[in-house]
Amino acid sequence: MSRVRDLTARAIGELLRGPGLLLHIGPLVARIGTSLIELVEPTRSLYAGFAIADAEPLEDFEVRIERGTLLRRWFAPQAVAFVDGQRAFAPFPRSHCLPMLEWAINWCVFTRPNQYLLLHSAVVERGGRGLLLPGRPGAGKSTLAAGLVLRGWRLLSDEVAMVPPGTTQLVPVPRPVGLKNGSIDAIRRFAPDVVLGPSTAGTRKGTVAHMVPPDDSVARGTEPARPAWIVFPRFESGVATELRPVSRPEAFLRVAYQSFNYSMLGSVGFETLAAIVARCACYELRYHDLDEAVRAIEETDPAPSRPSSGARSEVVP
Amino acid sequence: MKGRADRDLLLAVLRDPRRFRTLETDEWGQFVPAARRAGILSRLACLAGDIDVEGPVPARARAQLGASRPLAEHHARTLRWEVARIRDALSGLGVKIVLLKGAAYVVGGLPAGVGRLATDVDLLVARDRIEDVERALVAAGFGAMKLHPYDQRYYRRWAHELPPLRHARRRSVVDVHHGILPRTARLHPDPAKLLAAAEPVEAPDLWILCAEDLVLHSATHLFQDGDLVGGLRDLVDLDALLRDFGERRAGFWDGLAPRALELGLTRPLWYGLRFCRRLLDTPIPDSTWREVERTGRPAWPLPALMDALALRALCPERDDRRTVGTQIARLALYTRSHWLRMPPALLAYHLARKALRAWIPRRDDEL
Repeated sequence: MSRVRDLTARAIGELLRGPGLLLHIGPLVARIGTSLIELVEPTRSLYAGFAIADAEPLEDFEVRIERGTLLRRWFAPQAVAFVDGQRAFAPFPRSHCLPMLEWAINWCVFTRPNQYLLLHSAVVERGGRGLLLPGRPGAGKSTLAAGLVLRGWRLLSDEVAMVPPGTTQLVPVPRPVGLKNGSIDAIRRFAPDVVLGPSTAGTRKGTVAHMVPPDDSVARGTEPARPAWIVFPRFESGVATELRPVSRPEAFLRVAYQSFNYSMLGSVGFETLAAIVARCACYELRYHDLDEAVRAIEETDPAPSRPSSGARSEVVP
Repeated sequence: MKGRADRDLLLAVLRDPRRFRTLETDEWGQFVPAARRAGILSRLACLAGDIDVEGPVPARARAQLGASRPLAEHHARTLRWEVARIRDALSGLGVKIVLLKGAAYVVGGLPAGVGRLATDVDLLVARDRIEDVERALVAAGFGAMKLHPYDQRYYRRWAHELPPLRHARRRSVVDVHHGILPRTARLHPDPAKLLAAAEPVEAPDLWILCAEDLVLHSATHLFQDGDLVGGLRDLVDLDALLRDFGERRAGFWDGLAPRALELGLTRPLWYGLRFCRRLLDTPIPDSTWREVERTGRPAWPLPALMDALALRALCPERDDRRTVGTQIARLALYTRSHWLRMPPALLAYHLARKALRAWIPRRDDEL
């Protein structure tokens, strides 16, 4: 099976311009295409370790980033996203084409695979035990996930936890980790040798850059993990690191509210999420300093298989 | 794109769902994206479930068909719940609430509602009560959506419905109609006749159009009130209604053409039946077809022209590979839809306003 890094830049450019680059992203297959020359190199570096899915008859989604209308090619050039051949989203300035590509792929991963319960959460794993980091945009889940990954944890996803209904498995969808504004420098300070893609300033979310996911995480993209912790990160400027237990019912509700399709799946979603939460020790982590936050998480004991204390009422029937 | 093989494949499966069993691996690769683009993947997933697809379905196709169903089930559940909230909000008024389109199919338990994606609730009420209905919905938390002032005025003055209302918290949208075509349109089906013939559904205090009127409304909506873009889904609705009523309701086929004549909707019925027959092999008795041909067939060269144009518009192409032919067809159908909707002077004014807005975008248009 060949990987993106096995291809020459020229070959990748031709694929992107032509039929598209078919990539395995965890259990999903994405077709990525673009005629924008400036996207070739970032795609090559951010997806270097990803396997090329040349034998697949059908992709799960296709994202193409193209130039705007004729008029807008010279005057304030634009980039336009097509998802499965349909125009999607309002156009972006062409200089934002890389974040646009990543957001379009994210959008597909959030909305398409409804064969899974989809939770808005970063997921990492160590020693077979999965850690969910659920949170709204800006809560610091990607930053914390990046920090843990740079300390040897396996990345499953920085955005979405995928759970096959009726199981307690976390299915990976490893992707480049999206970092914003201050967290870009925080990660650089945390791990000076980190490999980041190009920064894009002035987007709707400020300056964004992506961390290349480790090869090992990408290669183990079909190997699920068992959930053991749920930690709700809360990045707050200047705050002292504080890890506080959260009751399971509260954790359940907070994760459910952060889900992309919890209500869509109905009772199956409820039961699946309840089984996940029942396996997990649940905390909230307020942090400013990434080193301390990572240490605080690593010092917690893995979840006992049965609740010993803390949670007074059980969610699971 | 080479010969629109994906479209032919989609139509072949729609004509005969048993075709699922013989799809080749690479055909699945064309079929699934085409079905999704047409907005009928979940409906086809339900059909595939019913006929128990065997054969070598690629795992990825199976997963995507499976993944499309929770969304449709969620839509149906939400729609039923929303309809019940709306009924509660209007219960004190003593107004007959007739559900239209998706809400009618789902709440009415019709096969056309199976696997159908629909979130907006469309209602038909008597025109002299429409302000009461609007007030009651506003009291229940629905409010006007952000609309361009011109569009607001246009709705109030010329349309057959209120500007869409959206619930402040649930974000659900309800369209309250007092007719099925704009006041300015060429055809004038009498809403009072539609309301009078409506039939109750199992849910209390809710009504849907009678079988013939459901068919006529579906055909009218598709061929008289829009530009047909992405209309394959609506044609699939129409096909499902015709097959269901033809099988279940004695006398349905004999009553259809006379009812069309009574409502002045013979032309859209002709188009609807013609395209159902041509594209989806809908079984239509010869006697019914002869009568509809006699009363609804447009003069030469319209049938040939519409054949050429409609096929291109009905099945959505990939936007990024749209051909010049399709662009021309779309422009022609867009113009046709407006031509049918309003008299020439108003049309000229309306299109000028719209064009002006496209060139001078307001900030809030970008949302």
